[in-house]
Amino acid sequence: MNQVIFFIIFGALAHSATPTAHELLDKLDRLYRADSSQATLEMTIQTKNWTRTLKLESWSRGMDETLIRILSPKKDVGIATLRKKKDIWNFFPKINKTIKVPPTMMMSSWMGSDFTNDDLVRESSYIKDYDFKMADASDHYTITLTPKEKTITVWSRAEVDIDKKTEIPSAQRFYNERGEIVQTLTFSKIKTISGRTVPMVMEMIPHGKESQKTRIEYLDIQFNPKLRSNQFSLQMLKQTR
Amino acid sequence: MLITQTAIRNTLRNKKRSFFTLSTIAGGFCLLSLSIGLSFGSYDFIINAFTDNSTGHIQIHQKGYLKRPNLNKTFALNDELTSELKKNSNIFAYTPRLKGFALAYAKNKSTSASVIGIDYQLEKQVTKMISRMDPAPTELMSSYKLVYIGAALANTLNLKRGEEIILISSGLDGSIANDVFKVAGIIGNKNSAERLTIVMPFEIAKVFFVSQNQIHEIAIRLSDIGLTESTTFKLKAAIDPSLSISPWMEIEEEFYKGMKADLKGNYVTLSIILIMVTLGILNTVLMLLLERTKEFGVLKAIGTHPKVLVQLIVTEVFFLSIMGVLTGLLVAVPVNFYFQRHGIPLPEPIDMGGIKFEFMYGSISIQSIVIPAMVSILSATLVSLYPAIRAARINPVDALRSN
Repeated sequence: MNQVIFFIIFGALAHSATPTAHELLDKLDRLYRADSSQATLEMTIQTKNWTRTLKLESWSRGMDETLIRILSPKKDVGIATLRKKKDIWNFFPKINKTIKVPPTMMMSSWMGSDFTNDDLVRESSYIKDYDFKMADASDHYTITLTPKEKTITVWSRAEVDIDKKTEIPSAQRFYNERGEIVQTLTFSKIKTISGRTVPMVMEMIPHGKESQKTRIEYLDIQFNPKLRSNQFSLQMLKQTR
Repeated sequence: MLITQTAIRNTLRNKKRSFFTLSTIAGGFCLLSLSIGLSFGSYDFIINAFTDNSTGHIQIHQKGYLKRPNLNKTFALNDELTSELKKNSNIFAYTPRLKGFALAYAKNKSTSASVIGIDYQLEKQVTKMISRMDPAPTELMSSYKLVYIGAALANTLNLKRGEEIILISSGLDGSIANDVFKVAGIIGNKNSAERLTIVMPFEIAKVFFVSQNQIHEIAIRLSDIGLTESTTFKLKAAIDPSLSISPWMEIEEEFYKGMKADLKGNYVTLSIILIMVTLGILNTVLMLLLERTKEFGVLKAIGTHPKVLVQLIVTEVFFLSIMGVLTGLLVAVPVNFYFQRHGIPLPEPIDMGGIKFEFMYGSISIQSIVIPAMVSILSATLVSLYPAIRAARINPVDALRSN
């Protein structure tokens, strides 16, 4: 009996000691994804000229539906974004209008942050859409991702650093067609919450823009909460609660 | 005195001959004056067009704004700055502007547009932008957020007067600027500089972009466009060095560079015209003097000093060239004036740095009248030196023997 238990533990350890790139990326693909989630988060946008902090509430279901609403500051309360598959709508309570984001605006900043509308809707899977190659460093693995021919993306390549111990990403770097680094996304403050181990803080640092970055910190995440069936509708988008 | 009198008498003696020389000079002068007038006049017209229409003569921005406009490149409209502008006597008027970009939505259509907030009262004194807006009808006057939109934008969004337009942009504090405005009317036409622009009152733009006292631009009108460079220089010394003071030559840099290059090319053409005119004068003067070889022989035989003979001939030609230029003025001034008013339509408009040439215009100025006049008189007089010296050196015996 003891031997069996020992074998199971040992076997599991042996397996996790040398994960394949495929396994790591699969984990990365599913990192924040659940059947559904509800989170409260704080987004701090820092630029040369101003710094502002937004408190947001977000809901998601599957890979296709997301709703994000601004809780503070007061001036922007109720501004919300709904995504269904590739479509994005913004709602502005001040003018009481729902506006569909035109395709030409997909690469524009979302709410003035360093994340684009496209970052929000991107439903690419690392395993399905990218070719990958893994390198081994002392404390982390670096996986280089090159988009497959049919994958639509603005990046020529991306690199992900994955911590050996936790198997959770620590940084991701994005390169343009000229091979120059454009932005770095870092992950930190790893915490086990609602039974999952996830980084609570993400920071997007664009390169070549003086003292600019966007930091997102999850204050609370619930995985698989009960959501209303119409949670991801234009009706809910307009609800300023 | 004797020489002047004799010279005048000589020119009047053979009127036909004098008229011939005089008309050569007059024709040459007209040719020079018109070609200079047309090239300078066309440029003056265009420069006045854009400085009057939208740019003003000088603009003030935060450093780097002109090269790369950005919502956050603002500066404060403070008392220090305004008092400096008021102190300068060359400045006729100035006006602050807030500029940005926004997404414009109307009904189901959307597009990006530039937004400019201007003080209607002050702007009137600086540019003619306000005159290109048809006044809003009285029933709209009570609406608060009235904006004017460019013709191309109105067309894209299918917007008419009185309809709503939604603008979304970002505020100077990083917040999301969003508001609904009412279209008061169209500004300009589909060829205007502001065809894709939304114009709104300064105070409304201040609220929209969340500006405390920051602005993007000050446009300045001077009492005379000729004062542009000296005033720019003075302002640069007086105003906060973190601001850049740009004369229209910098604001419309591409156009200005194109104009400079084109004018350089023109100098070549003008020099060729000048050489042709000078050779024509030389030819007539030579013929004129050749005909009078016998006369000079007599003068030398009775003891006229060669120096006096040179003086006499040069004075004659000088006198003729002045008469020639005066006659030329009778033609050049009215023709230049007509072209200054009406212009000559070009068969194909020429684009230079985004500014279209559709007409060539004449001009009446120092460059087109005084300079060609001086050049004509000077070159005629200089050219007469050679035949004059030849005549002075003549051997009286040979001269008297010739026919």
